[in-house]
Amino acid sequence: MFGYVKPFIPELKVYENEIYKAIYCGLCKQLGRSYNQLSRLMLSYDIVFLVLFALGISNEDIEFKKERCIIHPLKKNLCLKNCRALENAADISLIFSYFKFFDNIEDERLLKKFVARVGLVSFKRMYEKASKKRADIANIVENLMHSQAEVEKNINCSLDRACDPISKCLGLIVQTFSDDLKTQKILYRIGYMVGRYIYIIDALDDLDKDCKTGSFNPFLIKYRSDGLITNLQIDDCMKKEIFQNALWALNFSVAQLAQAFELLEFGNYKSIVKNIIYLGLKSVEKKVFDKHKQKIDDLENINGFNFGG
Amino acid sequence: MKEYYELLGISEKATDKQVKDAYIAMKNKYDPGSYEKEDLKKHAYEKTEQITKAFDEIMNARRIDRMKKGESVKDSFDNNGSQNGVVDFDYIEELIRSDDLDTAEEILDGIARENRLPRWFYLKGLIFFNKGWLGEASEFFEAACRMDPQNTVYRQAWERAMWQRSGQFGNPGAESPYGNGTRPLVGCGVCDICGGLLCADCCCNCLGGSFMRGC
Repeated sequence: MFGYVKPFIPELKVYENEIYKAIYCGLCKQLGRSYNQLSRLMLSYDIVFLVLFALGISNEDIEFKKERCIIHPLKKNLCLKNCRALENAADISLIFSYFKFFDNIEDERLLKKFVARVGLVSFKRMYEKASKKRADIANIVENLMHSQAEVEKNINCSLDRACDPISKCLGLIVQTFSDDLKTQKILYRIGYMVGRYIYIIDALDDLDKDCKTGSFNPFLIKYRSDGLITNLQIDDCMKKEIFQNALWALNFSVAQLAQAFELLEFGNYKSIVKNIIYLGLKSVEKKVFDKHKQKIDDLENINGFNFGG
Repeated sequence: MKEYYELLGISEKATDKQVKDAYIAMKNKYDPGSYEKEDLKKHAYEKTEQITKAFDEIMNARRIDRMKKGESVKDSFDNNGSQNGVVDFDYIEELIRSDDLDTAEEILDGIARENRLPRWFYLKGLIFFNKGWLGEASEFFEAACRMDPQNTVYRQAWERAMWQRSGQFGNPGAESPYGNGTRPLVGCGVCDICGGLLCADCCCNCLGGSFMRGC
């Protein structure tokens, strides 16, 4: 996972921001406790979102305390104490990062490939520990890798089909947060839409890179039918079409996510999760679009882009 | 094949409609959602899976039989036993609502191209929508809407898709519970004007003349 699911900080209340940061710190420390110091590098905002979600569903009692941190050795920061949601999320995070290394070895070049190889070796033992503890999650993620590879072989792959494996995977993982069948259904939908969002925005973020390297990208597949894999030149017209489609897909997914979320009986920290869904996801969207903005002049004319006025 | 019929509690001579009714009745009976206890729930799950499998097998076998005999597939889904060849979309919709998307999709795909009415496109869209394939869902909703512009159900589905695609939340016309960021921070709505006038009136009698008598 890649750090796209985070709150829009300016709209958070001060105490909400404190709690969010405390969960972030707590997760980092938990990774250190459950595995080792190296695994703390794999911390990501997406997993913090999962912790928030697990806390809201389970309503378990949690405590905060002030602790020091390697990055800020002088200041004591508020930090979430060990709890079930954190442990759970640390396991999920580790399993995901392990498979991400696999993915990087296939997709990346030189330095990143090297890093991925080193990561794979050094994470192997930790992964074994995690997969023993959470065999169900390891299974889900492994299935994801297989079906993703299968999907990417298909040259006529639609965007929906390309998103499906990771969306399903996140749906199944989020589903494990509750034992109630009705809640599980809602949670599956929420997880599915979050997965969809992450996949699409990641594909969009990597658009330029994938054009050069020839890696799989659901938005480029249409233009590659003539066998031109690397150094694909995309003109403004193509880019505009890609961005319009991506924006529609992103917006629709977020709206569906919000609709499912409203059905949920959510306890603690509802306001933070609401901020992430209604504002955070959109602000990340805007950042990714802004990155490409200099290259397309009339991006403003794309229908449905209305964040921030 | 016989054990499938036994599972549904019907004879092999049952009509398609009877098979369907038996299936729906059994499915409701074993709905895992109505079981609280964990092991019972698991059992109900297994039971539902068996029933669905039995239903699929029976229906498939019947379809293949009919195809061999040269009848067109559409006749197998006759509406309430009438022989006019109308495709039973209500039943498919019911399958979709009860979350049995695979069966519904299979039946839909089995319908001949010339029988693909606007409702076919709507239901196909509904299946994609429930699966989370929002892009394809939008296209099918749009197609249904284009073929039958008068139908409010199709139009609502398509308009909701357009609305949410354009970055809004909920139903068309609804306001985002959080604001979509385009609203100015300081507004000047009707309430603000009234409030402002009341304030002005209380403080300094609106520069002399009270515009609200009795204030």
